[in-house]
Amino acid sequence: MKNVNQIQGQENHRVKDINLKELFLVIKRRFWVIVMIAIIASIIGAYLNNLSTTPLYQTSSRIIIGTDAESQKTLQVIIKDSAILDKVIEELNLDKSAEELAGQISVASIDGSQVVSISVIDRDPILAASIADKTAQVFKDEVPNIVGEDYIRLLSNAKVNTSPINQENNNKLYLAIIAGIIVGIGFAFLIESLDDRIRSEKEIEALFGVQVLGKISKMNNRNIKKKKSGRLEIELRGETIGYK
Amino acid sequence: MVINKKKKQTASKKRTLITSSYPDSIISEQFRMIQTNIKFSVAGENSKIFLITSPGDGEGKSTTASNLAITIAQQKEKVLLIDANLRKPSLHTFFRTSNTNGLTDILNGRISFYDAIIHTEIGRLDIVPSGTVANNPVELLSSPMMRDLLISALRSYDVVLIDSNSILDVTDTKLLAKQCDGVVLVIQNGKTKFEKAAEAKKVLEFAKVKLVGVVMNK
Repeated sequence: MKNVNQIQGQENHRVKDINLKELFLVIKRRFWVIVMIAIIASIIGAYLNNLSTTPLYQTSSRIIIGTDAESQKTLQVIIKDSAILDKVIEELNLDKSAEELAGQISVASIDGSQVVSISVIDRDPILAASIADKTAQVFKDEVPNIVGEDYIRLLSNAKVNTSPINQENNNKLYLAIIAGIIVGIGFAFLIESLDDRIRSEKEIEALFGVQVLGKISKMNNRNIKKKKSGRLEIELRGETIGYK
Repeated sequence: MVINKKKKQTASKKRTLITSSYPDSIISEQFRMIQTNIKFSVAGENSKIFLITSPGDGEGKSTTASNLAITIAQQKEKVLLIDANLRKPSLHTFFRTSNTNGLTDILNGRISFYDAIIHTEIGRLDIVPSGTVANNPVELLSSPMMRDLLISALRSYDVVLIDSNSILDVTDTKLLAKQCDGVVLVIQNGKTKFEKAAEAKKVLEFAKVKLVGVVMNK
């Protein structure tokens, strides 16, 4: 009776371990499914990564608008007006509309001062610099025509900035690998749940109601080795010579 | 290269009869365990004829049967191993014997039982191969000759093991099972489907055959 209790106790105790072990076994058994899905996902991720990163370059030229704050704001708005930008497009021979160009340009006064920077973002760093400079130049030339007074002085020219502002990162790749592994594990468990092949003695015992007489291991080198460790070395040598 | 290949081949042949080639191995120990458990399972009964079958094909019936037979022979008992897989016989290849005279020839009355017996290199283990391929295995196995054969086999052997076809695919096995004292079912780990195993159980119950136990292969 004590024995029976002990055995049952062991069974109860073991249940936890076996569940974890089974999860692990499922992952181990379907390891290649998980790896394959992760690889496919990472390939897609790497592809998307390459696809999305056209490097963009930003540069700015600075001007000084020597007037009171209110006029300064007005003039800042005028920079992005088509009256200015059309001229810029004309002089630089750009294949763009004024609206498109306006989207690439941002104008801001620096720290509330009279210095205003004209920033341009473009795929071509040299073109970005020349657009910025040209806009500043055209603006300076045109303002007297528009408002009648010359408030504008050029402060500094735009420098060609060779490092892209959108840095290449592998975020998508990492995300894809992680997602791939997660989907792979999910898929492995899905396959496992659809798979009704017998894998444990417990299943057999539950099904047949008879005991499992025994288990036969795979016939590999390890299992046909002699059991007695004392003779193991000698036997090993003999076997290796015999097989190879 | 050629020599290598040849050596590998003999190695793989050696491996199928592992209990004979490596009696000290882990697998041989597992077969001894199975043999002991069968003994316990039928303790107190006069069971001597066992049928070895499985729910499907290629789950290790013949390998189990021959290794089990060798193990029993090693325990100083006289064993007869009969290949009753008349459709896809394989035992003779395991023991590398001819298959010209065998079970079908006995059942056809062409030769006598004692002429068909082949003594193997393993002492106390004799085998009866399946014999010439017959086109009426069901009739042959259900004939009274089969009954007589088993009775005469019991006179000179302690244990008779019958290797058979899979139980779900053909009727032969069910007929054979009826004539045996017990059935040992071989189930391959990770191959036999639960459904098939359940079906096999049903078939055995329906035929009112005693299931001695299940051997889990691999």
